[in-house]
Amino acid sequence: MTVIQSQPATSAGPEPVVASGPSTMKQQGLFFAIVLAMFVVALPFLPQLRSGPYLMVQLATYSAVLVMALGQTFVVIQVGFDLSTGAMQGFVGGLVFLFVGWKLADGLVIVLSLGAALAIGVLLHGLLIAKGKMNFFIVTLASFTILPSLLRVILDGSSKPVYSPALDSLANGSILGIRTPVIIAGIVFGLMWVLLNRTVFGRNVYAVGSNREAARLAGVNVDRVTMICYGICALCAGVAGLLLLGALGAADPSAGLGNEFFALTAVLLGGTRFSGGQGTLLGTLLGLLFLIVLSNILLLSGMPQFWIGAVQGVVLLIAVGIDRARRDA
Amino acid sequence: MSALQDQSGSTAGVVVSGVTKLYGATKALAGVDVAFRRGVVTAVVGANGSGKTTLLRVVSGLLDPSSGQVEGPSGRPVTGLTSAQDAGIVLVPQEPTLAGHLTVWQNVSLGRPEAASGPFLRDRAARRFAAEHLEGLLPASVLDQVTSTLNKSSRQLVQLAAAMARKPIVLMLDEPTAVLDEDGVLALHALIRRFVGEGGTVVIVSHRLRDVLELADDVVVLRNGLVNHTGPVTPQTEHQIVRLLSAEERDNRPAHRPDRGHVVLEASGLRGWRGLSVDHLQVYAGEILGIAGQSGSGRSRLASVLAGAHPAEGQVAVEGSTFKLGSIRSAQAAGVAYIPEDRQVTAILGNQSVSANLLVGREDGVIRRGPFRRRAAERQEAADLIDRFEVRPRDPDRHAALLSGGNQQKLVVGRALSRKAKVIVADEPTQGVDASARGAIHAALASAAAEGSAVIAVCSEFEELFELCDRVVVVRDGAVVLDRPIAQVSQDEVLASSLGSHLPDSVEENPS
Repeated sequence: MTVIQSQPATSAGPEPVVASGPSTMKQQGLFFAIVLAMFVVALPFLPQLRSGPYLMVQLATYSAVLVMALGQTFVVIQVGFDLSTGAMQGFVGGLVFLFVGWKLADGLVIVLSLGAALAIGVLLHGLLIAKGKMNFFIVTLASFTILPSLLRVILDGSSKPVYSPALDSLANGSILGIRTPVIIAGIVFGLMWVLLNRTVFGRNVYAVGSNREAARLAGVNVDRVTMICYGICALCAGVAGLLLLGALGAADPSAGLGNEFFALTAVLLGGTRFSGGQGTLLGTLLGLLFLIVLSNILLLSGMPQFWIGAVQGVVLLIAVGIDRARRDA
Repeated sequence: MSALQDQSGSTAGVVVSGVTKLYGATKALAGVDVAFRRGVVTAVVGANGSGKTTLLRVVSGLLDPSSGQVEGPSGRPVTGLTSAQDAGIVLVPQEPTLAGHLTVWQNVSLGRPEAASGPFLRDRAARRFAAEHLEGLLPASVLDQVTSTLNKSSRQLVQLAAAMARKPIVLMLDEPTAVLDEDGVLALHALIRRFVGEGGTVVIVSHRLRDVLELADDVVVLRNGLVNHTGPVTPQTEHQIVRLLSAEERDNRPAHRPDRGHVVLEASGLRGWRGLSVDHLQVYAGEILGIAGQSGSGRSRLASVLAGAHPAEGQVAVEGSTFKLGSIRSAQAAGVAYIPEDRQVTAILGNQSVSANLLVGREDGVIRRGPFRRRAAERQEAADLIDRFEVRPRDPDRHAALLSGGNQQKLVVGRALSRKAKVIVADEPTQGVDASARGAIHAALASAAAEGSAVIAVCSEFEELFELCDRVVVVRDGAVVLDRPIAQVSQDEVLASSLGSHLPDSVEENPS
């Protein structure tokens, strides 16, 4: 993590122009308007978008990715990236398979799998990165290869059906017409929002991302902030894993892989910057909504599925490019 | 603005006409007309946030003006960085922009045609080229050192050498002496005199009276983005400039401070970290202890160990209870507050708001309830600190990077002093701030002392040392070599002991 942090703001350019608080809100308003406009313009042409059940399925499908992206937002704001969230999502499925096989109670299965994810985030990623001063990319790259490998060991290389009534109702139930994954994502969003915006810890996340050494000298426990952020990120990936397992009804050796980058795309589209200290959870939510609306419009209007990734990548480049150009102007 | 004075006989090096620069709704420059003459040093003075740095950046092509234009020495307009460079306009910014991991000679010769033939680098020629430009500024022994290992003063001089290596016609200096030690200031002044003697144009922004009076031929006074006064420095105007630069400076100082009280901070047996070796040091309630010494002597090292920012062997106790050396949080819990030296790198959260910068690290009950922030109390506290330390603009939501250097320093000082600490360790508390802010910061430190805190201030400037402090310790090679009440020591003695000579040098400062 030293690579990025050892560059003081001064060396970046002649004029450190940064967006200030109010303009971030304006940007998010604009972003929301764009997402809404895309949706509204597409409505007359794509009848599926007018179907409530269809939209609900879409939201439920992407709820797991949203939860994952929310956790990732914490890590990116404090400067870093957890490469292993997709791997963690799949790995938690393997743990559930294991625990259900041991005939543990449903509640205990959930607590133990999430506890394992949290422990890996705090004690493996957080500790090595914060206290061990190891590069975040290397540490989470290791997990990115270790976790899927362990998952294959647990599952003996093939997809295994898992039935847990609690997880089934968590992933496939609905309350008052709203699918439970959407409700869970909403609750996670609320909790995370309070944590980031209303607590001293949240303020410290921004401070650490803005200037780690300055935050340390001002008295922030910077190592603890980093460890907790990786813990939150892994925990969110774990929740995403439970939702995915419940939806699939099975633990799959390749489950979750690739989702980390999809979630990261949403985080970055939402205005969170790799340079740290900037970003919002609302931005991440909007970034994901944008991606969902975009891919739905493209798919429903007949674009072959294979092209979607290319479009999303180009959109990311354009969005970040516009942001860069605006800052340089 | 009719004050544009392009006197007959001396050609204008740079002509600025009608330049306005807007940042959102804020006018950093509001229609500036001014000419910088050739062969002359022009000092640009004014309070923090009056537009000095912005003016320098516009002239050197780093910023595009919102309206108006700048004409370079050839009479052609300057539009952007490349055309400013072509016109020979070179800026030495206030905060160094060197590549820290490169050696000194690599930094000085970076991008110079002399350092390459065609696509290939010529290291030996480049090193020789760098040595030429470093001469008179730093000893040749630093050429092969990695730049980031130098202290701030030396880095500033390397920056200056790198600027001179670009063969400037117009040299723009933004607070060049803010971080320089005494030798550095003398070297800089000599270089500037030589450069204008050869027909160069120098524009210097400085808060230091000495720079203005000793160097400048012309002075431009900025206020709120407007030229308030422009003209030559004459015996008649000198008085006016002095008043402007030192305005309010002394008025803020509390008239009386109680006699020094009990021992608040006691350090013993400090060893380690690049030769630090302090056997015993006591600081009393109600006193301001100045730490003096050449740069690299260990004065900042001592301060950062006392503040808990850096580990060392030995013991530091605050009112009898020791804290863990190297743990800033342990030191804070014991009642120590720290104002670090290198504002940009170790103090400011650039992309965070003014209020976040003022409150970062605070976990006291005033602004938190359990793990939660008390946001109304935060807003109130930030507003109070902004008023008390005269942060401008008075906007708690603005990002700190958009503030001038002096106003950023006020944030760092305000942050430390808001902790109501028993010990305040301040490393260069007034670097790069204007006279009125400097007065406010000195007054705040003095009133903290008057309320019973022990204040430790690292001062590289004699002026500040003698004005602010009650007692001085001089550090040389990591050890304390002199410890005396300020009333019983002269500038010469401090200088001599910091250099390790018993024959005082003839480097004298006339308090004007």
